[in-house]
Amino acid sequence: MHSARKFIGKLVIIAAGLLLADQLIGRWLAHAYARITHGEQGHITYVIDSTTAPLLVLGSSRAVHQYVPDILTDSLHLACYNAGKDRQGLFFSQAIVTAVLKRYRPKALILDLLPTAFAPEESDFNQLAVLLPYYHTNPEIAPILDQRGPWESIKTLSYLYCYNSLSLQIIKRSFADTDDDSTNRGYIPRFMSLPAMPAVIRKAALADDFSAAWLSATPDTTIVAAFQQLIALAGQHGCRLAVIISPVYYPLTNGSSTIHTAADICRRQHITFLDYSRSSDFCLHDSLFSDAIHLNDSGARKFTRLLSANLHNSE
Amino acid sequence: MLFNSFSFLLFFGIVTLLYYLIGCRWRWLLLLIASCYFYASFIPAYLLVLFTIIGIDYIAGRCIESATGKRRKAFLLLSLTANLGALSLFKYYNFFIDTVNHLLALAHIQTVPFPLWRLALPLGLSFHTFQAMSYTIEVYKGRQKAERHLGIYALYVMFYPQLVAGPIERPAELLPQLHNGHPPNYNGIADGLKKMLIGFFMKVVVADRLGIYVNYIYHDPETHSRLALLLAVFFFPFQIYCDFAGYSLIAIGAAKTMGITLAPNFRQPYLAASVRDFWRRWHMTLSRWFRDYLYIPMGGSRLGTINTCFNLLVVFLLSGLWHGAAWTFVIWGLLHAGAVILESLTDHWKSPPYRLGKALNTGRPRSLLLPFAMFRGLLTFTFLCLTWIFFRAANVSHAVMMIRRILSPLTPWQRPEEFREKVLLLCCFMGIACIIGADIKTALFGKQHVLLDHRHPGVRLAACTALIVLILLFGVFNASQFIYFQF
Repeated sequence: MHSARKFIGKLVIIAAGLLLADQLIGRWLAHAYARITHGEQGHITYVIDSTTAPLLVLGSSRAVHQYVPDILTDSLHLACYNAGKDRQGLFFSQAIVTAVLKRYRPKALILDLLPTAFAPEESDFNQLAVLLPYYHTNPEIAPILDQRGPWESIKTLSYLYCYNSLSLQIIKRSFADTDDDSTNRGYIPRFMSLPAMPAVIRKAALADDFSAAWLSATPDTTIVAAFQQLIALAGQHGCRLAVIISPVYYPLTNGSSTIHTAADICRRQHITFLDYSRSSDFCLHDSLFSDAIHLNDSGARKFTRLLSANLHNSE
Repeated sequence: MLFNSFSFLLFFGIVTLLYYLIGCRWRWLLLLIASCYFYASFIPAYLLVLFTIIGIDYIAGRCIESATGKRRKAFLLLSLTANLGALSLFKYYNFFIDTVNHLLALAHIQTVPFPLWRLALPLGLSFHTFQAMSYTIEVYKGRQKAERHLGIYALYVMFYPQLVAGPIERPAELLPQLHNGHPPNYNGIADGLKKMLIGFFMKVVVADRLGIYVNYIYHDPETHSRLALLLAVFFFPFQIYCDFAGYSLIAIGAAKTMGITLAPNFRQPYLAASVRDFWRRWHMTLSRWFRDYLYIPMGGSRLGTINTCFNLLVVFLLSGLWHGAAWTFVIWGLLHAGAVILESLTDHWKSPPYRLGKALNTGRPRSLLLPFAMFRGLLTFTFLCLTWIFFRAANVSHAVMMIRRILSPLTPWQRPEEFREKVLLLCCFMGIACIIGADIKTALFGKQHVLLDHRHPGVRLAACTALIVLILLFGVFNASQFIYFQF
């Protein structure tokens, strides 16, 4: 009995130590995080808390590297900010729109959709971890983050959990909060072109990014629901929405289940839907791509100009 | 329910608490129900596969014991056929059919392609079939009495900490422990919890962090620079080590909290001085299985050089295939076989320090031993890095392309955009430094955890708290799969 009491006492001491560390370190991390103005974290904070741009670009890495805000601003006469984020899916865009609309009403939203965005494999809520620091400060996105797992609301009680994996970045940016990505209103250019390589290998590379199984997969109902909620949210607030499938190196001649489903939903909801996945202006042009699914800077500029003109015409 | 998930922590806490609250007599039942629940949390239907194998092996074990002569062998064959049959059907059928279809296509023989099996591999099948086979083989050899209690035998195969990725236990070591009741031993529980903490650190802080970079590079190796490829090749050995050793430590620790000791699976593998030495330190329970049930029965090294080489080739080829039904694993196994055969053929060669010592008539010069050992270690590690490329790559052409791009002078040395995430790289290097440092310290001084096992309880408690804080701060909590689960 004595050893049991001693053992439980030790567990209680560890729990108390953890609670103390969680409060002390966690609160300092929250304070330091809020002061970051550059880099990925600064970008997300700016989009959620500060931007007032009437035109927002949403999406994953294909949004970040392919939509040049300066060109969109000049041609559409709307100040634009690229709110895309690397390695994110539709849930991230849904969270961003939810948070932004709580604060102000952008006039228009451009959503870049991956040709495989509705594939079940894209239903990865883990990537939303970058939004955990906003769980308590922006409660409107909490329901989206809660989909990460059944215990999320309990786990987020811990400050350390919310800032998990960000501590080194926070420490680094506390000392040198500089813009090391040379972003241009959220746009990050890629300057390299596709390296010379045998066609077979290049074909294999594309197969990995957009495998046939993913392209033909039955759309995941959760992702489709998120897409429809995003459309409904934009509609409720009177924001115009355009859904774009940007170019890929190999033309998707038969489209994909995502493209067909999204086109169908957009047609029914009277949403602008533009598909460049077969565009001969871009497909198979080595000099315009940095890899099989991302345009480089010259490709992005060419694409944004074409998109602006098409959006202008669709007005 | 992965070990690195919140659900598992809850499950583990509840099961361990109940384990000590109920009487010794019913503990096996609690653990069996918990193990079924744990396995069912992945794909419930595969419990049926597991139950079938358990049923067949249980009956086979009893029959082997009671039978005599050829019937004993027949029952052993029945058990081996059931286990290897399940393994072949679920794991190797598609590989075999795919290869046949490819060969037919290559030979321009026009037939309807043989259909592929569209079912997922039951989790940990290779592990529990091997554990089950070791039971029937031991009973056949008379070294183990057949288990009378079906529940205990089922628990031997299904014990949840080691059900999906080992360690692969022996019946003589695990079965008696499952029979015995264990009164709470608080030192044992604390020891188990510490092991679990270290396991979690290895998995979520080091392995999963390295995995972010490694997966990014291996996903499309054709577009990356030489430096990025080299870094991925250097990171992956540590990723897989921390992933699997982390899993093993969590399993050993979880069992230890219930007073059950599982066999160690790793012993500083990257400090190995040779490939043979590596296999004495890496996945030790699997190496032991292959040695005792395949290599030695085939004749081991007793039947001359050619037979030894053949035996080694077979063992490593099967070891490669055990890891996965793909040509990448076959090549991986063959490369290891080649290295081990080469080492055994050059066994009689004297090492340079020995020869120099003999020439100078001074014995082995100590000053040369350490640099020579370090050189051998480095050479072994380089070889292992090369072979891990085949293990990790999506297919053989990806692996070959990676090696070609690393060696080709046309590949650019680096691209700035590949190294934007400096903090990620810093975390990776820090994690690797921790692991190498801890392994070297253990190898040199024996004691594993200076702070966690400090004689002053205050230091021990502070170290535990600090380790949990580190895990919470730097861990990757995306509940990523353990690499060895797929085997």
